Amino acid sequence: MIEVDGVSKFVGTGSIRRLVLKDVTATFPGTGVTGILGPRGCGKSTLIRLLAGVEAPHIGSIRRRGQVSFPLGFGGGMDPRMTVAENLGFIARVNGLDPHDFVRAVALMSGLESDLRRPFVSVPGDRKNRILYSMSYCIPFDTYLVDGSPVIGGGRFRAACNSFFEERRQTSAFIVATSAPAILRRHCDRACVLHNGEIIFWGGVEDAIALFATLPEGMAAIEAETEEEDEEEGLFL
Amino acid sequence: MSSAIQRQGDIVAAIMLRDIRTRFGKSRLGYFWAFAEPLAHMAWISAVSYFLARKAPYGFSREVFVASGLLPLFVFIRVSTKVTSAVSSLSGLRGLSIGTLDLALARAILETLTLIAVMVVVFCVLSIVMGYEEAWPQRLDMLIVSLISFLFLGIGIGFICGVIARFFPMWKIIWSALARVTILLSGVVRIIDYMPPAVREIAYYVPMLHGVTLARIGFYGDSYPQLILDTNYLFGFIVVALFIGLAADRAFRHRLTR
Repeated sequence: MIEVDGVSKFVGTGSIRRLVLKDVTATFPGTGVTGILGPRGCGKSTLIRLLAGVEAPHIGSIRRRGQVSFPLGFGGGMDPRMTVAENLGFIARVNGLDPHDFVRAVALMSGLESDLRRPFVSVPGDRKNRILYSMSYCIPFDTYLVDGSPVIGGGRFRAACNSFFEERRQTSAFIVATSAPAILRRHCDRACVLHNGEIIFWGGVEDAIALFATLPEGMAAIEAETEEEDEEEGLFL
Repeated sequence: MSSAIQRQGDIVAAIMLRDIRTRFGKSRLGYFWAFAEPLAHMAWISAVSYFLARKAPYGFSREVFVASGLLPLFVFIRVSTKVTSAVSSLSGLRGLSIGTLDLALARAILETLTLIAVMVVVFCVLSIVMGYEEAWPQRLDMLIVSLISFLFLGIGIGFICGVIARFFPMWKIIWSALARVTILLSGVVRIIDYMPPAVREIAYYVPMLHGVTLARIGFYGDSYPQLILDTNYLFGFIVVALFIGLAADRAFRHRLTR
């Protein structure tokens, strides 16, 4: 469970400083999948980083119960010069897991055993994402934070992602921030709508999408979505 | 409680292991710099010291005198600059929910261990190759107290500078230069006890001076001039700096933005 109390957050410095979150108060439950639906630039990613504890709010407070993940698929902590296995070993140790078992589990889920000995920088982009998503799923968190989609890729990896997601949601909470109503519909139990840095709705998935469609940016997002879907499916086939 | 400390220890160890691989691993430049910079400072200080007086300021060897003050002081210089950058910037590791203190501690300890390795090499060369007996510390306990003091002083000052750098990013560069200026104020070049009262009164307030004096006692024993030494002032300064630094880090956490 994550409690957000009166949180405001600025981004940028000096004259380009902008208020991205305005006095947000919300309680994200400790079970089930909660969606945060909002158009591009509404403050979703900032909110996810605040929930993860990567950044701190300017005003207000955030209380976390249990182990909260970093944003799913986050790759900024990987050292490009170290091999994939070395990077994963580090992630395992930081999270109190056995490095050997962890590397095996990630290799199994991603199906990329052959890339383990390569420097991380030399792994192609889509395979990098597969490794990063597998890495996040293989750490047992109480709450998983997702900026985008909890299930990515295609073919066998998509199936693996899906089964991990379905398994983890039984015991852990998910918070999924997205601008795509389809992702909300497919994965979420409940949703809120974030618009211009404020949560303007909290409730069922269909009601959230209906409200989202009435926003000017929402219409554009829904129109663009059909194309994005196709691209996403095609990525790893 | 003990498991929380254990957990923090694991995280710090993991970061250190990673840093060893990335900084000292693939390119040998990291190792080279670890040795080259303090040795370069030793060279110019020895040269200045030679022009000030033909005789070593204390003991028989000018090199031992300079190294016994400079290398321990370098723990402070390196730790404070490393901690400053760890505290001021939102690097990738921070994105993995690794705390400021974990990151700062790992960098600080690794930097200290590196300098201890440099010291072992330098003093072994001075004693075995050059034949200076005084390069063996007479009071290892005092030397260790000095190193630990510099480590914690570096962490405290590093946290304060890191928070300042969140407001003025230029401070990181300014501090890394300023930290090296402290070489001139800390009794590395000359013995402060032998200097005029006006200088002594000001120098007393430089906490690094007391750490350098402790290190010199570590090498030369209790006969080293130590009237100015005030360990209570040094330890008090460290505690206050750590308190202000950690409190400021918490108070200005929101300043960390990408």
